[in-house]
Amino acid sequence: MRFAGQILAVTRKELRQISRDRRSLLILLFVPAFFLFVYGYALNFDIRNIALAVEDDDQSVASRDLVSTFVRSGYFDLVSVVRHRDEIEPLLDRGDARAVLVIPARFGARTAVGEPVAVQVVINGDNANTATTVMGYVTGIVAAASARYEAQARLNSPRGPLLTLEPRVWYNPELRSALFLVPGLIGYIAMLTAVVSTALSVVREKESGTMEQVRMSPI
Amino acid sequence: MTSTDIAIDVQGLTRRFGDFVAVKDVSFDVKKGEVFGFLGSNGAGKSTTIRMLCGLLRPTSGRATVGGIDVGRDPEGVKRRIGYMSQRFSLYEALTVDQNIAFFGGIYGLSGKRLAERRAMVLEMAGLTGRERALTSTLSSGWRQRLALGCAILHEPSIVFLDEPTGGVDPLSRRRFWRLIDELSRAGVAVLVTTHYLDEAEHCHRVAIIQAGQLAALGTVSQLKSVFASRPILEVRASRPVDAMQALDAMPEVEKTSIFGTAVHAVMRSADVPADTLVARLRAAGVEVAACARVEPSLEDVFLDVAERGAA
Repeated sequence: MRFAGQILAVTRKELRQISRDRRSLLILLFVPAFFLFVYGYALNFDIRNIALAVEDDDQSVASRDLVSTFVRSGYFDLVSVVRHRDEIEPLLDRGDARAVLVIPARFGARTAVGEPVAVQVVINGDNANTATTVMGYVTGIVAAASARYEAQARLNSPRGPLLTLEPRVWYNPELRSALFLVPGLIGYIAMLTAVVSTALSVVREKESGTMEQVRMSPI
Repeated sequence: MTSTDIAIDVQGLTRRFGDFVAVKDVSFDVKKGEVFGFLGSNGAGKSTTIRMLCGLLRPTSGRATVGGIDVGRDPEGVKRRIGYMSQRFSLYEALTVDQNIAFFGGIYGLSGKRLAERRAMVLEMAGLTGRERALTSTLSSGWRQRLALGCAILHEPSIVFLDEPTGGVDPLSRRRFWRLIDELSRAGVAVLVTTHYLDEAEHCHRVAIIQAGQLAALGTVSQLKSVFASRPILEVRASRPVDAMQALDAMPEVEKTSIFGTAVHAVMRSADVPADTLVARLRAAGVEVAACARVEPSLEDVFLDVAERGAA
């Protein structure tokens, strides 16, 4: 009971002091709100607008179709077209492109008859996380395209592939990372603020010399 | 005297910080209702002693009981039973008078009717009735100091520690403050007070002088002054006190001199030299003397005497 009374007394005192101290008020209210705003908007794990370069050695309808599939997916921006293999490395070194798609010669002709073709993608791996995500996108796009070409090659089968995947994500259909980051951030910032406010009030007590009085009291 | 009359009992209290001995083998006691003055130069060990008695610092050796509780064994128990007020203004400036009282009431576990009663008492004592809602930062230092004392005795402690309570306060407020101390003492509260104002220390029932961590003198004010019984003090008023001092220091009968305001106090080795002889000799040395008379030793004389002996 006595203990609860002490806590109540200290709480009241702290609230009153903070409410009259503009600087503390600013630090305790504005700063967390600011952090939340900044992190909420700026901290984003979604990867979009990946700079893509293309070396198209085929220049056929099919190869252009594959490139436009990449662009239409919404994840890739076509930033440059490369004519020769040697141009790829400087492009990645300068950071002008994060991924380069290499379509081999006779791509169109071979897919038309259902012959397997290897398509190369060069990915900048300096950020492993991003690279993995990009790789995932690429795999998905290529798999879908492959299924399409295969179906077209088998002219007698107009139904398309036998199995198709129709994913549906609940609760966060657009997979926006902010939706799961922000609630966590609120907890984290609240934790940070608790430490800062304690530090502030201890410093304030020391500065005003009231620390000594409090230490002498039975708290 | 029985042991129940003793509020603070200190036996051989010692505190070391590494190799430095801040307080060395200090022993004294303070009775209930006594105003006990604790004097000493800066750094002599006053604050260290008080901090030990308040349960903030553990004694290295020795024993101290405050209100019957051993400070080494139960510092929290001591903290609950004492009131403490320091030289620094120790109230919350951003809080009003009333909120400060509520805070200190709360941490000492006062509530309801008792808090209301004590609050009224403190307001009246500090002369702040009607200004409960004033911010403490707007009060002058005299008010603040009385309010700080009020907050320190809110929980009616039987022992109160005042560490240089009157620093930076005008003489009138100081006088009012000492009246409050006297009232506490009459109510049976033991008051241990440190001060640099030696005129204030004359109000104390007993005085201890601490010098370089050791107790250099202890007794009533008149007991302490008795060290000058065989060594009269002559007060010399001269137009140029510094010259007078030099001339006096040259005389073999003079033990030592010190400046008191515009006058010079000369401590004589014996009562043999009358004031007139001294005046004649000073004039012969070319010093203009306005007056010279034997004076009663003040506590300041005692303090300087003890301090110099300690330094020698």
